[in-house]
Amino acid sequence: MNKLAKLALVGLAVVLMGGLAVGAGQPEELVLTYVTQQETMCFDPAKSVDETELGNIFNTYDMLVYPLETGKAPVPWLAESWDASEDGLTYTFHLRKGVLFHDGTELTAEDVAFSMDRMLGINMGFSWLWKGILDPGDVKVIDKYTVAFHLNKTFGPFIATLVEFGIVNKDLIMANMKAGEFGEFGDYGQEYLEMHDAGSGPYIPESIELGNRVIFGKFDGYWRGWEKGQIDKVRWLVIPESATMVVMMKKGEADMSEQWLSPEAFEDLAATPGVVVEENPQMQLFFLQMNNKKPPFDDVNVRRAISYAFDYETAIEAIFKGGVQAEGAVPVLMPGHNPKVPVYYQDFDLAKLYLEQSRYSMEELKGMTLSFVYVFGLEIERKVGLLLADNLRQIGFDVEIRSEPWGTITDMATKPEATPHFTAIYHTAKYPSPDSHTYLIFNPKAWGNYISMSWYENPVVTYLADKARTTVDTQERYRLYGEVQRIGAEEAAALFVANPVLRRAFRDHVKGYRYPGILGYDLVFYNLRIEN
Amino acid sequence: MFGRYLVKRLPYMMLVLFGISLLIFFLARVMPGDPARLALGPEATQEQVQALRHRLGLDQPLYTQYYVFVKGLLKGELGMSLVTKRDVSKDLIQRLPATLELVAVAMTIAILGGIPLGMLSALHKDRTIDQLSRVFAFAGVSFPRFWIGIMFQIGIAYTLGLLPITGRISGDPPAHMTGLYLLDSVLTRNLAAFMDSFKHMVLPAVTLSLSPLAQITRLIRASMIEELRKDYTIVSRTIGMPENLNIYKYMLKNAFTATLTVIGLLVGWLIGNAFIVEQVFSWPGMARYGVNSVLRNDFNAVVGVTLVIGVGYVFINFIVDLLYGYLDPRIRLKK
Repeated sequence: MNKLAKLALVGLAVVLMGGLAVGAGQPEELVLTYVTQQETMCFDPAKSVDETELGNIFNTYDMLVYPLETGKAPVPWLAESWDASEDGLTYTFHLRKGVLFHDGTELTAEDVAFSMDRMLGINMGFSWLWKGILDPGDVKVIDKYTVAFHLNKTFGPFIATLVEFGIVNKDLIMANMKAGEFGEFGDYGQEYLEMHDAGSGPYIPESIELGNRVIFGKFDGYWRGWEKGQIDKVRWLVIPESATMVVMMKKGEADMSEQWLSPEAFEDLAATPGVVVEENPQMQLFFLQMNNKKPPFDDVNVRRAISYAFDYETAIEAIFKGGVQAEGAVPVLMPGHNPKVPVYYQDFDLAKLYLEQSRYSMEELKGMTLSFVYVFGLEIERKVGLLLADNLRQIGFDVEIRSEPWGTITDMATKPEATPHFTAIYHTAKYPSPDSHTYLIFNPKAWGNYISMSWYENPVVTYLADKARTTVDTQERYRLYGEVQRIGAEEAAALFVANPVLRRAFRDHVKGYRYPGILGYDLVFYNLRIEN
Repeated sequence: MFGRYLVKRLPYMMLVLFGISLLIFFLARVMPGDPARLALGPEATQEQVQALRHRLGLDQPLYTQYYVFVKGLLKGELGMSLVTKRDVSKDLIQRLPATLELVAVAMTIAILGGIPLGMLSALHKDRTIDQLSRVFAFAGVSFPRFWIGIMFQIGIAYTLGLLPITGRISGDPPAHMTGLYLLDSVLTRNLAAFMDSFKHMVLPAVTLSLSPLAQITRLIRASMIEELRKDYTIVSRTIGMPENLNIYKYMLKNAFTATLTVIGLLVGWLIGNAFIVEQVFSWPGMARYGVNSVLRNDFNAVVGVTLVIGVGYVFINFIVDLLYGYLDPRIRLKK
């Protein structure tokens, strides 16, 4: 081998080793693949409502307050602290300094005021929470880091509701707005936010393919900083078939699953080496709404009889395969839950006793067929219907079970005469307050939506529920909510079945999962770590 | 001649499209469920629902709504999707290429596989190869596509690990030109994206192709057997014309005319019915979007998807009509 060739070989070896050394020195990018059946559709914090949309929002935007722990009040987040005026009508927030949006500009009070005006102006998403409480222009900038919310009336759960209020980058929105119906604000940047973000959260959506996948990359300038093991990149994949999702989890092509797989699928995954199934009690209520306006459920004794006839134990153990029996309308983990509400259990003698006390004769009751409607495709609800039918046969009722598409159920919810006897419904907390459940289930002002399909009406309860909403003192507010829960349960406004568990499957190298109890917040990937 | 034919067909096509739009528009409006309520979520107040109904024009009489719809259509707008909260036309532009690419590859497999198989079957009638081909054709039509898809996933993707289980591409998609990943990766000379998208294409395309492949096989077989019995075939064989010339130039051309109609219909049918395959393989196409829109009561999206499928049918039929003329001089001369 001549000198030149030797030199070339040595040179090549040096280059290769240098390359390898550089490669070895580079930290490996930590990628997490999340799979879900729900299609990712909306990235606008003023429009998002469902779990998937909210999951996106909580990863890309920040809120003033944050529900860090299940069952606890939210903690300061973008707002380092806040003061409430004595009359409970003004809340002044002191913002954290140095929080950056994804474009590198600083988040200030201007952005907070703009975000609320935008939320109320677009009038979609969670704006209903502040309807009648705030109007556009009611949020005033005091200085760069101080902002005041002037409420039209006192609203007890106000701070809790702010967990659904994402702050957008005003300048970015204004620079990208199109002509629209909001005067000087054009379309409020709605078109821009269809495929972009304007947040300050831990992740930036780098690539969005609606209905298919979203790739999130970490935001280096995130105000909470980063540490070793946190996820650099998230692949959020839409997998419409649950069987495929299970296969992907088993094969290691996915690291984290959605919560909507069947209990049987989770059992299968839990038995797979390398896969761990996390179970957490949920701030969710599964209940069977009983149409209080429809005979025979217009009689409290019949409703109580039904509540005593149902087999809660079998429902929880055999159908939900986990969870606890519901204690009234408010999930047991919710702050302000009243643990002293009457809880029903299966006792056919008591059930028959209540039927005898009803204003309907046994002959009249036995001639009635009760309709049970569940959401098309939800197997658990169908099984609960079958169990209920079997239980009620023991006290002389026939139950007719049928499924309906979601659109039909929301239509049925608009009129009592269109509402069936029973409607199976899940209701997950959207903010950490009993109000999340009591208002919609017990207050006639909320009639017309699917959570109010019991059409429950009791002037005392309405008064208490309204008073609780306007009470600023937390203890007093919880006492009032407690009364609402007690009376609602005593009068068997609905058949409160269970607070199911929330399950997610993970590959065993994924750690740090945290479920804070509010829909979508457990999808915050910042909390996760990848080991080994 | 082509121009004259086009002029004759255009008003007919417009009429068909107008009929489709009218029918679907009104059918979508009578679907159960309040679209505004569905868009806003369950907890929205009645006042908010009313406000959105007003914004969407749902509080207007149906004929006014239709007028507004047609006006928007002429500008390329199909109205806001209640699910994605953006104009349906944008959703369709994003989703349609995925379905078109899948259908195009599936139909290519079906045609390239179905014609030789049908011919072989006819030329070896009642022999083993014919029996096997008939069993295959029968199975292709009978087995449900979702089952075949899942079997492919378990066998080829999960157990053998030869191909990806789901999706359209694993890495970064090629630079957007047409939205057809295979074509875009060729145009941009992106070999990695081509191989990636090709691997993802194999299982869904084969699954989707089996039923049309079986139908084409059966049709070609039947037509070829018929041609074999015709006088001109007997005469040409008697006079010693080379068999290959006879088969490919005369018999196949004649046999193919009847199959062409079915191929045209199959393309249109597949565009709207690729749903199951798109669902099983997480293929982000328009068919899945359409079915989900129906389930979610997203009435503008339902109308948009149906119109696209309608236009697809009309267009394919138009192409088939033109090809008839090419294949059969009698039709050409009559025109």
